[in-house]
Amino acid sequence: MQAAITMNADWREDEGGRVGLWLFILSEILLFGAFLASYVGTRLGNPDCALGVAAWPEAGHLPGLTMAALNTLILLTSSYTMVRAISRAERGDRAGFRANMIATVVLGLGFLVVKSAEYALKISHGYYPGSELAKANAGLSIFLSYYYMLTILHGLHIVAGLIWNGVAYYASADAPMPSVARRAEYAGLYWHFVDVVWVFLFPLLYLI
Amino acid sequence: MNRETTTHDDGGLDLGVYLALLGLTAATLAASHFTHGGRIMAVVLALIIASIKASLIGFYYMGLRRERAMMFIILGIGAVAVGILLVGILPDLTFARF
Repeated sequence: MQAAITMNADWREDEGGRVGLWLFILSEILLFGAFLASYVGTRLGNPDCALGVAAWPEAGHLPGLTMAALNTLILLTSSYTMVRAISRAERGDRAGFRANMIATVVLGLGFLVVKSAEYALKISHGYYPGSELAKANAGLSIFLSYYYMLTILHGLHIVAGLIWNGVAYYASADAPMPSVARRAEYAGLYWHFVDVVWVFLFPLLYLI
Repeated sequence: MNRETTTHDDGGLDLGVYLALLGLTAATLAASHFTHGGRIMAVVLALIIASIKASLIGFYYMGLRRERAMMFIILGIGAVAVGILLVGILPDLTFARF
């Protein structure tokens, strides 16, 4: 009887945690969805902002696109290593979990490094709100505002995900494996969501 | 731990999903090349491919295929809200004269 009560309490905590996390993800969907809908409407409805592929004028476009594609590869790979980390944790393989989680963290840091290099490239070409280039082209200025707002917001989510993953990794040193697996699953849900956001940002910001 | 709904033990399937995601990323790049100049088609195609990728991540990596109906209701609210926002701009795009 006591065992059944304990198992039921564990189930409620686990279920409650997941429902809470999905509700949090819902709030994030609404946040990014509102910004993206506004962005798509502006790009489609306003000829001043209808820059097409020329959203990034020729100088620096290809290197910037290459960096964005590389970041897509990095994030998709980090999602795969995260799945492997959760799988290892659920099997009770502590070393396997830690190896895959540290790989996820390193890939996340790699994303931020590449993103920083991309920002430096764009700023060097005058692609930032308030630059002489942007002042001369209202459409470009609107686009750049959206670009920096959306990518910085996404970058902040990457940082939050890295902290979450780091805490899960740190706590896994001596915690019981069921607890490690639960933390890994929650961290994984968030990390995958951040990946999903980038899946939409990449084509909308770089390819249209 | 609710093993019924959270176990990620499909090693080969997870790798297959990862490779599919990479393939769809390549398709996104290719599609943008072929739709050059057609903005609306480019946006629609980009959103369709991105939605397929997001579904793969959601169902296989986030474990939605094993989740209860409640999670789909939660996600459905988000999808409907964002859909309303996207569809809501159509009248403006259709009737506005710039």
